Amino acid sequence: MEMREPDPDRSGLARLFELHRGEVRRFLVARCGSPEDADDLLQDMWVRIAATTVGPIGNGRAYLFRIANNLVLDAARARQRAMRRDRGWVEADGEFDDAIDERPDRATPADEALARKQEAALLEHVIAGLPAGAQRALRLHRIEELSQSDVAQVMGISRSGVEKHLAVAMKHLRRALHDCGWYAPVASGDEETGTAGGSTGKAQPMNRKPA
Amino acid sequence: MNTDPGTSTSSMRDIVETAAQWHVASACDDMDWDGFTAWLEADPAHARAYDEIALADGLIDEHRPALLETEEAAFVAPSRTRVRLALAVAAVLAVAISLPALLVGKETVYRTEAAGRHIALEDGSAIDLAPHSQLSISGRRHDRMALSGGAYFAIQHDPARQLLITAGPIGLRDIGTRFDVQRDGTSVRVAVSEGRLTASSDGLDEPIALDAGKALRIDGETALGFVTPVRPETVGEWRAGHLSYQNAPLALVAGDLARYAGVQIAVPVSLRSRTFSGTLALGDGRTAAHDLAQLLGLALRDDRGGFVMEPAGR
Repeated sequence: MEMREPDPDRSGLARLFELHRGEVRRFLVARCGSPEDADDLLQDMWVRIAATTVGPIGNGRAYLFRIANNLVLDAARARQRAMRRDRGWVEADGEFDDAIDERPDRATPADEALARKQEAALLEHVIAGLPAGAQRALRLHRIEELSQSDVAQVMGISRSGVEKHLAVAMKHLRRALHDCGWYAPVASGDEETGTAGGSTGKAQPMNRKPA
Repeated sequence: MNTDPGTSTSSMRDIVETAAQWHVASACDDMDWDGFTAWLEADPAHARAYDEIALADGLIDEHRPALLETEEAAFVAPSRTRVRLALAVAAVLAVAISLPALLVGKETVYRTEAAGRHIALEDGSAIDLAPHSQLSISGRRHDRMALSGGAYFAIQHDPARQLLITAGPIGLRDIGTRFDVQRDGTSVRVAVSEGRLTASSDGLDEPIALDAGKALRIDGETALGFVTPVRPETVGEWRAGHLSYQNAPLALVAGDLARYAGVQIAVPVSLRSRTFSGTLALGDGRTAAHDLAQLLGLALRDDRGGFVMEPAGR
C-alpha cells in the first residue's frame, strides 16, 4: 500500500491494477459466481491493461471495476447470443455480415434478419408502452445517448429522478424479454460452464480452456 | 445509493428492482462498487437478476440505429411534433437555468450552421466557433461560457477575472491561453496550443493542469479522462481546413467530419474501436471521407446522401 497516488502516466493503470487487484477479484467472484472464472477474467484484465499506453487520470479505481463488470457482461452477452442463434433469435454485434456464411447449420441469413427485426420491433413496442417519464429518460439517455446529468437538465428533474425513471424502464424491458422467452434458460451460477473473457467493443472468439 | 442488501428471502421483484438501480448507477462515476459487491455476495440470485437487466439494456445498443430511425420518423410525424418541440423548449430552458443565478448577466448565444463564426470579445480575446456549434456567453464580465460543438479560444489572461468555460462534463478555469475544445454530448476534447489551463470534471479525482502541447480527452461512455501529447501547431487547425489525429477512435473522427466537412459517415459498431492516426484535408467532405477510408483500409458505401464505413472486400 505504499503507492497512495498512482501517477497518471503510462504505468499508472498497471499500478492501479496491482493496488486494487484484491477487491476487483472479490467483485468478480461475486459477479460471476465462480473463483475460476473470476481469475480468468482477472487475467484478461491484466492483458488489456498491459496493452494500454495512456493511463486514466480520472477515477482509476472505478475504471477498473467498470472494465471488470464489462468483461463479465461481454461473457454473458456471448452466451446469450449463442443461445439466441440456436433458438432462432439473432445476434449481430455489427459483424454478422461476416459471420453468417460461416454458419450454414444455423438459421439462414433471411431468418436471422427477420428475427432481428422482430427483436427491434419488440424493443420499440416495449419502449413505446413505458410510462411517460421512464420513456423519455430512456430515449434521451440510451437512444440519443445523452449523459444522465444532461437528461436531468433536459427533463428539468434531479439526477436521482432520472435514475428512478431509467430503473423503471429497465424493469419493463427485462419483464417483456422474460415473458417472450428471450433469456437463456440456463441461468444458475454453477451451471455456467461457458463463461469466458473477450474484450469490450470487439467480438472476439473465446479462447478459454473447456470447463 | 441507499440499497438494501437483499437476502434470499427477498422477493424476486425486489431483487430485480435493486438490480435495475445498480445497473443504472453503474454508468455514473459515483457508483458504489463496494456496496454492489456486497449486494452480489448476499445471494447468487442477485447476479442473475443483474445479468438479465444488463442484457436487456445491452439490446438497445445493438438496435440503436433502428430505434433512432423510429425516433426520426416520430419527429416528422405531426402527432409527435408538439412533444418534440416541448422537449426542445425544455432543453433551451435547461441551458438557461443551469447557470448559477447570481452570475447570469445578459446571456448571448452564438449558434452556427454550415459556416463557422469569429467572435471578438471586448477584452481582446477571440473565439472561432466551429460549424454546427453553439456557444453561450453570460455573466457580468462575460466570464461564463458554455460550449457544444467545437471552438478555438484565444483568451487574454486576466487574473481578476474568473473565466469558466463549460463543455459537457468538464469545466475549464485559470485560462490564459490558446486552446481548442470539441464537445459531442458527454465526450470532450481539450487541446492546448499556448499557455495553460485547468480542467475539472466529476470524473476526475482532482483538477488537471494542461500545458501547451497537452490534450485531454474525456470519453463520454466511460467518463474517463486521458491526457495525451499533441503538436501545438495542429491545435485548432480545422480553421485552416484540415484535421490531424493520433490514435483517435473512428467514431470521433466521423463526428468531426460531420461538423467540419458536412459529411455524414455512419460507423458500424464493429468498427467503432478502430483508431485513426493521420491528417485529413476537409475539402468538400467526400474527399475527406474517401481519404479516411483508404488510410484505414476500409470501404465506403453511399447511403442516403452520406456514407457507411464498412470492412473492405465484401
